[in-house]
Amino acid sequence: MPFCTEDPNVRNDWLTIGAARALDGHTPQHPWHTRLLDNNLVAWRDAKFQPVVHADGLRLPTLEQYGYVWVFTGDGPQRPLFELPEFAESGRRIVDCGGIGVATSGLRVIENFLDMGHFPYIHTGTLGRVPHTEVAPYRTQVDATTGEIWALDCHFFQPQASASAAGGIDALYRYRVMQPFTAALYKSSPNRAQVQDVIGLFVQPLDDEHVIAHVLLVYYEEQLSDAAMIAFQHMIFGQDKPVLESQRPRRLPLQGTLEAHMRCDLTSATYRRWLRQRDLRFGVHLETTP
Amino acid sequence: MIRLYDYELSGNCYKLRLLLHWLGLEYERIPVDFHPGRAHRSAFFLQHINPLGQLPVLADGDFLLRDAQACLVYLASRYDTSRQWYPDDAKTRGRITSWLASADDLTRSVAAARQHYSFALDADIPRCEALAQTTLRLMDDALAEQQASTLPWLAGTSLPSIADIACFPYAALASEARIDLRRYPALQRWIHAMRHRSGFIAMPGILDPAL
Amino acid sequence: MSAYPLWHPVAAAQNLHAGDNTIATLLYDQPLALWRSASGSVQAWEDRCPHRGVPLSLGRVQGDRLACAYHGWQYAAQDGRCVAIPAMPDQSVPGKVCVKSYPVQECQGLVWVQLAQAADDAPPPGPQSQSGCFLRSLIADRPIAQIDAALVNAGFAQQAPYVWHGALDNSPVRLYAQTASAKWCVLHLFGAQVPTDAQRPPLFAAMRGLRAVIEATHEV
Repeated sequence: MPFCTEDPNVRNDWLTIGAARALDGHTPQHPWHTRLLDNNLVAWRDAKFQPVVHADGLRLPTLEQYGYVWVFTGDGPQRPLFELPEFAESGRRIVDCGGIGVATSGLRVIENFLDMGHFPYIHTGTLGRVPHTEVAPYRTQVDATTGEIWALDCHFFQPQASASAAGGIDALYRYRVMQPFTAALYKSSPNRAQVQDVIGLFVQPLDDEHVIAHVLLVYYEEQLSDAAMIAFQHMIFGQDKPVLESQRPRRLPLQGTLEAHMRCDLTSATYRRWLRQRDLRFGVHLETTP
Repeated sequence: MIRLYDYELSGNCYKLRLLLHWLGLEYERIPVDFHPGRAHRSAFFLQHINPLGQLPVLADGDFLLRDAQACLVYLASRYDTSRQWYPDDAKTRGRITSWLASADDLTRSVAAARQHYSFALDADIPRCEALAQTTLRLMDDALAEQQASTLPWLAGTSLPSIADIACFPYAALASEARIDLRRYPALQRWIHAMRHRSGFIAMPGILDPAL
Repeated sequence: MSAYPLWHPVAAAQNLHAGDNTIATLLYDQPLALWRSASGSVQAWEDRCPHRGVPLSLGRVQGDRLACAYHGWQYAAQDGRCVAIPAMPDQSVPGKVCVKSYPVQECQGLVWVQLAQAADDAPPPGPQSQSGCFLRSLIADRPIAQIDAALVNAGFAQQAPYVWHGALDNSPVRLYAQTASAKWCVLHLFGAQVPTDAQRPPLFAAMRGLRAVIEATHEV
């Protein structure tokens, strides 16, 4: 069965299919199952413990990095996956929060991850609180070498910025978009001065309007258990999920007047312009799409 | 000290968090790595906490109790001096118990579909949808028919009871099971009324009216 | 669609409380957010915030404004104009940010909506000043044409588009049909007077019975 899109942005780049440890113990006779671009995938580890992934009988180039399995569905040259140097830093806790299904375009999931304006309304009492609603001006840039988007000098008042935060702080954020379906957030660690914790969001597109969103924590954290860290992250994601699923159209409009943009939506505007320049079609609301 | 084996995204665990809050009881939340860790299915959990491998589990001193509805009955019976949540009369208790059975139907239908979509757990979706429709319609009918009376809550009470708490989370989260709440107008009003009860606390997926 | 210039019933007026709740409903597949401002006027808006497409019915009524649940953008009653953007509290909102609002009327205990932008001057159909008692709304999972046929079979007489008169449990009732979608409708039921406690159970049972009869016909 062909993949549901020919869009080179998606086909000629790495896409995640989930946590690498999900493949452990699986064999060709009892494979692990998932879906990608409207295809059924089966996966296992070979005798050398390498991940093997097949889509409808076709073996896909595969990468295991940052604790996840990535596959390449196209014919073009395979550029390297984005870098995440914090992953290898000693003392870091690496916590995969599991994949959560969301019925919307992956582009909406990424755009929400980049947005601060919803913190006081959707993540009340943790990431934001009325009346501290103002999104102070910040800046975005596209890195000339990597082509990635960065949003810098972001800050927002947060009553409880993370699971182990003890009180309200003016949290400093940096956002990064590595691919259309991958992004990262860098926020000041409550446990160590001068360093940032990283939250990675890696979206696995099942089709134009359904995804599995994987979240990776790369934190300095000595007190809390994995379960407690995951619980906090799931609380945040669980608050976003029904809002994401309620947005219409499900696919992201990249042009036109369907949705309003204000100065506080700078990262969203930058992201949409970046996607337009790449001529992204997958997960995009085109004028002819209902 | 009351301890609750808990998961942030579980509507069944939230039922107990809600009643514990309304009863003004202090308790310790013990986070269980439901996903991706499936810790509720670990050998330790099955052996020592709940052989059914389900959440929530309530521990009160040495007393361990499984099943969200059973825990609601226990907490209300033991700690609710106002007698609001589980009133003493036979007819009301009978009606409450029939709604606790409907809460189980919501778990089997709405919660199962929600878990399927969120965590890729197996579910017979057409069967879930049929049972969800039956149960939500049953609730909508009861609430619509009682609306004009002085006893507007599910079990025909003047104030919410554990019947309302038991049926509330998965009704309010129905959109995550891809159910259209526009088809249940009385249920929409009841969800609004619950959310606006003094002291209401939310869970992820249910919007807190207070900001 | 020829139905568009007409007024359509969408909710019982008493279910919209001033400054309080919203009702999410559907009319010919158009999602609607209904609400009543603190000063009492009913609003019928397209259920979609023009910022990021989140249903406004998920939002909060704050006085004479409806605030979107996502970013708290506030829209004023009557014209649907955005009047506040919390992320930019000191800046004025561009005038063009506006929710699509539909002509709306309260009449006969119901809220009526026109889907056409220009309000039809004619009032909603049916007797004008009939006081009656709202009984309940219920959903029937059939297209309107099948519901109409079933109502005729049940002895109901059509007084106007979407307005029916008949009897349930020997009590006169008026039934207003709202076409939510091709496959389901909302029926709003009114009685001549407030039923007594003894009258309620058989009356409501008869309504459920009517719904069962409607849904017993094969889906077309």
